Amino acid sequence: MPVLSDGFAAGSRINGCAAMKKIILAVVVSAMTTSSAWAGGLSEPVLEPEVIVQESKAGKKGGYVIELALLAVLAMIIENN
Amino acid sequence: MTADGAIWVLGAMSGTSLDGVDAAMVLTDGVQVLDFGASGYRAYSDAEREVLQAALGLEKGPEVDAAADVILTAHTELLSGFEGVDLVGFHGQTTLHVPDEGRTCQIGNGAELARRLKCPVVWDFRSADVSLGGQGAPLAPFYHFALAKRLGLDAPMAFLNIGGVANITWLDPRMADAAGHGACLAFDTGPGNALIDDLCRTRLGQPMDRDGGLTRTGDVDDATLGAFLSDLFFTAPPPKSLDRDHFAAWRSAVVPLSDADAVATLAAGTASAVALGIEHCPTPPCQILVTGGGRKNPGLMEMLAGVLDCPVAAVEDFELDGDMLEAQAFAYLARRVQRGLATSASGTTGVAAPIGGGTISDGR
Repeated sequence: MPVLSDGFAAGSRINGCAAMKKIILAVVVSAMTTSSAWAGGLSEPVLEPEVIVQESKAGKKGGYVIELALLAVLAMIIENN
Repeated sequence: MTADGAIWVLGAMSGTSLDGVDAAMVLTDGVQVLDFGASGYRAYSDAEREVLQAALGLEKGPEVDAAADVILTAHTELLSGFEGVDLVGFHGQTTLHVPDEGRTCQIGNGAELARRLKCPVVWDFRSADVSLGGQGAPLAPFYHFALAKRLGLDAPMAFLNIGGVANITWLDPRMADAAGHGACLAFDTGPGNALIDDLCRTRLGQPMDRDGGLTRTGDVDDATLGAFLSDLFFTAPPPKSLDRDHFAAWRSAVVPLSDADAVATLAAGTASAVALGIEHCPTPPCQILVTGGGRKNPGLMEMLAGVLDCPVAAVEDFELDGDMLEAQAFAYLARRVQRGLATSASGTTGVAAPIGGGTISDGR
């Protein structure tokens, strides 16, 4: 395997690359804090609001009885008319 | 040789630049790359290039028929000069690629080429992938995976192709199979050379920033670079691919800058976009090998080395032929198709499941 160098041939470019790295880092940090679409980034867990199921006091059977009674009253009114 | 053994395969590629046909031989069983053989190049004449250009964007019609004839003639001339060929991988010339509409077209009749060469030809590599919801590209990642194994690398690494657009293949050579889950991830990182070349052509009348002279001497405009990197493309997770015109505004942003500063800023955009792309990889690569025309720009290579946290080298430093890598890839893929092995997977083209795409014509 060849020995690889990650140094720079042009000295003036060192400062340029340091500035570029800062800009890149700013983009990465910004993406991690504003979006969940960054692989490996952290995002706040999304919590669904708790659903509370409350049984009515009458219950289902009671509901049907009332509906049937109403129908019977309506039928009587129509018949009398 | 057994049905699963290594054979000499000749791959041929005619790229989007319409400059000519590359051809290269690879000794492969479709899993391993065992050796490299002869390679060759056949340039298109100006008249041929004109015919090919007239077919771009089309799937059928007289322009496409004329261009297909040029492709067939050029390939027959070049490929018939090779000896000891057991199989040919023929990519053809892409005239249209709109995968989101399920359309891709590579012209050149592989069946006729097989008859002329009297040799089996594998062709039409992309259609099956696109028809199953994949992007049909890139197809080189599985070859990159085999090359990493051949190089004896034992940690995740990446191939970076800097053509007009830059794209990366992250891969883990410790995995047994390129099609396996987590073995390969490929996506476009951002602009490559196209905008730099365009600027050099329009302002200076030269085809590129030769030897990276302008890239090296210019000053990067930080404010312009920062604005460019705020594009949402960079934060979008892969798989993702770029439309060539996506960064038109980036081209306009450097207009007020001097020639050298504009080129340096565009190059910084390419290098920084790669650095942001690396952030999407499952793990940081231990090594990046650069292919494509960008590897010939020393200024851009210095920038990449400066912004990336791992060694960066041109593929030639690892005794690979960067000019023939794509032609070799289609030789390798042809053998995989012949053996019924996958040529793409969800991590490379976004296709739902690993799939082997390609038609085999036996030449009879």
